[in-house]
Amino acid sequence: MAEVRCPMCGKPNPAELEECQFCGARLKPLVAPPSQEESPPSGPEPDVPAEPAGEPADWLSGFREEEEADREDAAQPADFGEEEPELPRKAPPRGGIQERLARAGGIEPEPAGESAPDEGAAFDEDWSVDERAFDDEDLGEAELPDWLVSMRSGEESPVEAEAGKSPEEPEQDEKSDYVDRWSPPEEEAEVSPEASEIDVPEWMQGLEEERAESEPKAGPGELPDWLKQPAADLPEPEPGADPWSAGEEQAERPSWEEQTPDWLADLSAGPHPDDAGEAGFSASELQDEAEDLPDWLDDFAESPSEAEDYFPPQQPEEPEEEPGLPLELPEEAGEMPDWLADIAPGQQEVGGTGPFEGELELDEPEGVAPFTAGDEESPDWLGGISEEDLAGLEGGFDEVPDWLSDLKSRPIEPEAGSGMVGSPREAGEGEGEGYESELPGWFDEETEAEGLSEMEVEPGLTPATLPSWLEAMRPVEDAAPAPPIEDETEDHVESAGPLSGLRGVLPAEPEVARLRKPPTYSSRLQVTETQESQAEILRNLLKSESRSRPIPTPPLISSQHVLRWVIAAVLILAILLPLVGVGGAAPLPTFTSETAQANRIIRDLPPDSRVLIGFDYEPGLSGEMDAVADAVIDHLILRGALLTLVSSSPTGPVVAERFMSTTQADHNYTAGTQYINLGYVPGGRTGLLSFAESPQRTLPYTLRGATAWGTGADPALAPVQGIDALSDFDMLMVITDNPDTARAWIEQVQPVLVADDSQTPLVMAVSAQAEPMVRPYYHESAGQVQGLVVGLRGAAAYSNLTGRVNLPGAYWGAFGIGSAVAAAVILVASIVAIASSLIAPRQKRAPEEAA
Amino acid sequence: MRAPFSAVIAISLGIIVLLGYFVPIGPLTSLRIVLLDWAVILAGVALIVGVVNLFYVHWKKTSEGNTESLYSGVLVFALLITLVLVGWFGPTHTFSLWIFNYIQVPVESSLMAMLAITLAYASARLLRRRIDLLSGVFLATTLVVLLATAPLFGIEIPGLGELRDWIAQVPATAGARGILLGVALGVVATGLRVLMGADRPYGG
Amino acid sequence: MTLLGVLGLGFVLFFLGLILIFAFLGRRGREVSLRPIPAFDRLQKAIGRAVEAGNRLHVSIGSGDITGPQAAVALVGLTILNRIARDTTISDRPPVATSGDGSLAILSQDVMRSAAREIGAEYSPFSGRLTGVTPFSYAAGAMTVVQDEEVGASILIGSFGVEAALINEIGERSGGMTLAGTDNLPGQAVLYATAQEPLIGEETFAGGAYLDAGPTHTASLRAQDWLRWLIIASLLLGALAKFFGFL
Repeated sequence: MAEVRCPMCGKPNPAELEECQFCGARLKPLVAPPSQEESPPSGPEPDVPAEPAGEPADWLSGFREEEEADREDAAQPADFGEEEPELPRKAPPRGGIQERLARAGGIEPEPAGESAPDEGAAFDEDWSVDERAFDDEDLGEAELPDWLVSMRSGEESPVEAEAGKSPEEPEQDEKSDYVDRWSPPEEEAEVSPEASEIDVPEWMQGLEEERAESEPKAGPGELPDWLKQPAADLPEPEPGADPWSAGEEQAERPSWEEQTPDWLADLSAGPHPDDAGEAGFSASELQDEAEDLPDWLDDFAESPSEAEDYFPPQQPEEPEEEPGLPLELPEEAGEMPDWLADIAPGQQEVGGTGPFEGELELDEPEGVAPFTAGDEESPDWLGGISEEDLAGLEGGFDEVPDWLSDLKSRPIEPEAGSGMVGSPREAGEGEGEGYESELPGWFDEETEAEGLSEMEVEPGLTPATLPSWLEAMRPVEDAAPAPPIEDETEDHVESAGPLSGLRGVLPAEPEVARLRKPPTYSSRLQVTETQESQAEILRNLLKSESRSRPIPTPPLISSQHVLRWVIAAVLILAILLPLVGVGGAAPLPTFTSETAQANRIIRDLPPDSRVLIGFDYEPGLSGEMDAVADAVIDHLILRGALLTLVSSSPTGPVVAERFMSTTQADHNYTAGTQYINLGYVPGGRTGLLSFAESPQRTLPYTLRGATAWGTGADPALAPVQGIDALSDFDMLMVITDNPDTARAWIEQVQPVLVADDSQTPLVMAVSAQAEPMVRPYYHESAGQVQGLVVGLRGAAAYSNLTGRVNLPGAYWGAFGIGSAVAAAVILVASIVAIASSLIAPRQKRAPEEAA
Repeated sequence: MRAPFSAVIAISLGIIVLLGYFVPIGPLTSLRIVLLDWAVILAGVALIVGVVNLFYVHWKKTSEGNTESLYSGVLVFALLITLVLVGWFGPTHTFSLWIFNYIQVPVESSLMAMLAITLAYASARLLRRRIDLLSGVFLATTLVVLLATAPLFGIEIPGLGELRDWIAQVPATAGARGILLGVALGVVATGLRVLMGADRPYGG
Repeated sequence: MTLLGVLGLGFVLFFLGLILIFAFLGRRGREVSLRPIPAFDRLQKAIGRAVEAGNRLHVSIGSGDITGPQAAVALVGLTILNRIARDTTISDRPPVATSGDGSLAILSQDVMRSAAREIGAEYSPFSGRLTGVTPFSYAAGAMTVVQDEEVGASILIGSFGVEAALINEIGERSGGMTLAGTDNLPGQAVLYATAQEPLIGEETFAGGAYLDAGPTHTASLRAQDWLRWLIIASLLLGALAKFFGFL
């Protein structure tokens, strides 16, 4: 039972399985029907032990010495992709390949047009192999499956034939099964059935069969047009069937090609195989496919000057560098590495019939070296160079063949072709081995895009740009190619130690240990005068900010002090005028209705009437309120009323005592018998309400400590005898300076006075400041306040009614003069203020207008 | 007391007193009166606490030794003397009345006199501070009321007395009522905020 | 229950409902534009200046009785004191509060203690003082505080009489800003003449809303506006009804 090894885990699986039973990897890849240009059939290409073209010389020299080991090394996929770009520069064709391929594929090496189909088929195969090889790259060397190793063992014959066999039998030895499988289908069964059956998995065979069915048969008459045209342009048909070199390409291309978009793959498909045939094929193929290519590429191909900007022009005087090596560095051409020296003898042996045999015999290593090096790495197209053309080289490089002359005449075409192929590799060139094998797939695209962007310099071309999200994902630090490190050791001349004076030695002292004079930079800013002045202003501003300012001491005597003292003096003098007989005998004002109503209520009180007096003014307003109280209480005392004093202010009881003992001292009213002072009602309005509802419980004692309302055998004091409720009083008089207190009495106590159909009147003697608040409560008949005496004017009017000369009359003259003077002062000051406010803006505007 | 408990007590007692005003239910009204009596007692105690605070503040100031400490010393001395005399002899004793009649009343009357000069001075400078319509109305009203309340030498300007009465009875009263309505709304709003716990003047 | 009681209770409940509605709308992010009151703008600046310059703020909450109607404006004064204390207690010179009532003195101390506790500042029992038990003695004591303790701004929010003019006078003479508002009509008259930034009428009760004391203050202010217009409409309708003989 045939087994198929898993490309992922390398374990054997039954051939009929499509997926690995161990790791689940797909064993039979899904391959679309191959087309001639884009989808070459997949085959057992991975078995080709491709070698990187630009691999360092060590392994190549070792390849000569240890072939078997080198084959295993050559199977490392990581190496494949790294050296690929070197192919078009270093891999000239070798002789004998063309014949072998022609024989194997039934294609005549001549004419060129007949070999082109096969060549194109081989190129297509290369692309597919590249893909496979790339997959193997992903697996890594250690994961190389066994079946691939076994397939590689089957390649030994062509490799050996190429490396060690005699040149007399190159066709038979070098015709590997690999090449056979690439041969036309009718010959494939004859030449390589065994290899296919033995080494190739069944699914690959199936793919081959599919490819064989779909692939156009190679033949001169069956060549497609696009292949005919480049073939005609080529100086030599290039079958490119060298399996060894094909293996190189297979391993190298996928790194930048596999994930390219289709259009880019098309572009690459043309020039890449022409790494070898740079002069003819790649350029011609570009031309052939010009119709399929985008316009910008056409322009690119047709404008050599643009390409020359990127690739140095060829030196026509040096034919050894010119043919097909537009990117060959002069140093590389002129220097012969050691490994090339090792290769050279072998080259002579293997390539005895090759086109460069004479070249090697000419013993011109400078000119031969690149070609010889490329011998081991030569791509397919090198095998397509005809012997005639190569024979022309045998005479040495002094004679330039015709096709090289043609190339000379068209130097830019190979540049364009090679550049397009080489550019992607250039991006990663010199980055070290194993670099690409660790890169994610997207970076290949990125690298390719970078390489293309380098080419897309022609005006009018739209440079390819990465999407922003992809750009953001790009690991610049890790993936971006570092700038080439310049080796400065050659330029360094040691100046210390025993190696002093030698060039190119490691420095004896570390770099940091060398003392050097620090560079001096000018610290002076280049500023203009304007900037300098502005900086100076800012500097002064900052200085003034940090500078402590002395606190301005206010003048001892300011205009406000003067004005205040003047007003005070004027008012005091005005009040003192009546003392000297000026204005003291001013007539008392006429009474008003509310004053007359208060007088009538008091006048109508019965003898020994009980009157409750709320004494609620502050000592500070005693100047006014004493006069107001004097006018009405004097009248009450004259009427013989018994007074009960109470206060809702803490100072009210003392004020009342003072009033009775000083102002009413002439009446000799006796406390406890003619009047009692119940003291202070705490709680404000609440206390007043409580007092109104239950006076006995709220204020049971007088200010002197006596029981006011009586208890049991002790009778109540005379002023409150027969009083059970406030409505039992004959009148309630409230003397207050506070409008709130007046309202409290009106709102909390007055309703109690009229309860039970009682008609106890409420008369209020208030300060002038409380008038606006109390007056709305006043009404002669329906109001809550039946009588009202307001301020000194009301008290004077009341005195005018009673005809008593008391405090209101004594104050009236001075009060009038003081009020008039105060009004005059305010009027004058207001006029001055208005005038100054009118003048000041004009004075302020005047200088501005003058300016 | 922690904030939640003090807030709960304040809000619940406030609601009880408020409902006691509007809902004449016996127990509710009685509870409201009891609570108000407690409030009155607490207000009296608070007055004592305030006086103690006043004494303590000025006692500390007395020990500072600067110019202001002299005035604080006078205050502390007067407070102690008045407390002893009035507490010992009572508020109606001659000593107590002497203190009141010859110290407190003259001092406060002097302040009132100084206030009169201050108001005159402020009115004189009102237009220097701000010149606008309201200030003009304010000063015009002041002049009318002053001249009409106490006419110089008894010479009354015809119509000025009636204008003064009209101002006192109509514009002033109307303005006062309007202001009082706004104040009343503010009072209700403040009370409701306290009942809602949004305002916590009790430090909760 | 009398008709007056029913109307009163209904009015209070309606007021409460309006406050709750506006508070709910305010929490849902509906902004309310308040008309500018220069006094509160200056107060905000004075608070910031006091913190930066190290000036002391003096808040006086008057001599109103806590058990009377003057308690409302005294509570407004305590609210503003609380707001100011939160902003300036952390400064070098914490604010000082004066009052003319024992209950208000205790409440002011409580407010400042709680503010200091919330912001982690040290509380001084001297910051809330009773300066006098009568209006003029209270004013005299407050005058000494303003003059001796280098007060940068005096805020008088409470129940004041005409004695407030003395405090404003001494505040202006010391060079500080004076802002005053009271519910007392004579007090408002003298404050208009003496204070740099007087508050008239209900402006005093809007202090909490303007100082960002909380969304409830703004809601209550909007409720006041609604009820004010309702009262105005009622007065006009009553006057028209009286004029046309319906009443």
